[in-house]
Amino acid sequence: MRAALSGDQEAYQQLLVAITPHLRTVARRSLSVSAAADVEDVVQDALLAIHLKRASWDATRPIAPWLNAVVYHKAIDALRRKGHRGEVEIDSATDIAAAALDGDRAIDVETALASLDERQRLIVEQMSIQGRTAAEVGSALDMSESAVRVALHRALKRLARRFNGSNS
Amino acid sequence: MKTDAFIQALVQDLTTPVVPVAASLKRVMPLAAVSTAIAFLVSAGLRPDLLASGLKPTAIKVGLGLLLAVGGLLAAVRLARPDAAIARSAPLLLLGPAFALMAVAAELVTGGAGTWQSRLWGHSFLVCLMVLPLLAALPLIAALYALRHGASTHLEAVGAVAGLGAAGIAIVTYGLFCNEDSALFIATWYLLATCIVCLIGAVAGRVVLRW
Repeated sequence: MRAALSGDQEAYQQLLVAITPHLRTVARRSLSVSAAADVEDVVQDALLAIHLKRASWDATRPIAPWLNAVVYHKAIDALRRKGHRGEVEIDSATDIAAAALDGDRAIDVETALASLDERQRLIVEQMSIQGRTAAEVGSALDMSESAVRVALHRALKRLARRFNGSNS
Repeated sequence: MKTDAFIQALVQDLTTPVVPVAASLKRVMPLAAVSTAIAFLVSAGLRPDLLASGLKPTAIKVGLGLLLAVGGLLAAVRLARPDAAIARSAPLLLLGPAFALMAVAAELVTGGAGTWQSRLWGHSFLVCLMVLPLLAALPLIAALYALRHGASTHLEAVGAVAGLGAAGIAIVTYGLFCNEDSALFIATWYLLATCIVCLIGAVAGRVVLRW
């Protein structure tokens, strides 16, 4: 994380990939069994928060408690959101098992993505799913590289608000 | 979207810097404090006998305000971290009240004990209770704005602590105007006004500090 904070993208990628299974474990433990389908949702929400709030980690302290606090907070949020909607889980046991096995299921991020405008969504999709760089996306969309970066950052903040907004 | 793909988008966004809470506070708080002080002191003015007779009580007010402001804002920076423990910030929060208590004790020992009631009530406690929260409004808004960069898991606590800091700034300003000279008055009404601001901060923090 220290390398990542100084701008090392490769180190950052390795870190995020490495912590994801841990986040998943904490999320699964925090949510009840019936909410197994939401685990990946919480993981992605937590990753987004870890990214946007990375300045709130004190680099002189170990990172694990900070990571745990973020996931735990996001898991509680997800539970509260469900409670708020009064949603009743009627998943059958097989559904739960399937959801638990299929860690990478596409769930609520898709809904959140739908709240972005056309160009923001295109940028997020191209830079994530297709793994293109800001320069490549920029030339495809006839935007400057820095404009693409700004648009990506705005899109991510909007996603974060979207995750949050549905429970307020 | 698969999580691995999602990570790609985050990695690409690493080039956009994020602002730490402390840096944001350092930028907005002096601005809020100075504009509040100028606006109030231009419209209300310093107390006329500031230099003649009022230096010691004014020093108590300014000292209390500074301790609350510094303690509150430092604690807010700490509590803005998700893994913060509230208990570890408690000493910072107690600086101001402890100072006020010492001033009261000193006054009770040296001053006449018989007139403490009239000194406690003073003649302007209602003004104090209304004006202090008003003066704290802009600093509180500025502090909450800066704290939105943080990621507190205790939203109400960090909002209340931001209120403490904002009230401290208000007290430094109001203390240059207020002509109540008893430490009893200062400790009681200034701190009661501070509690009001903390309460507002807690309620506001709950809403605006979500992340």
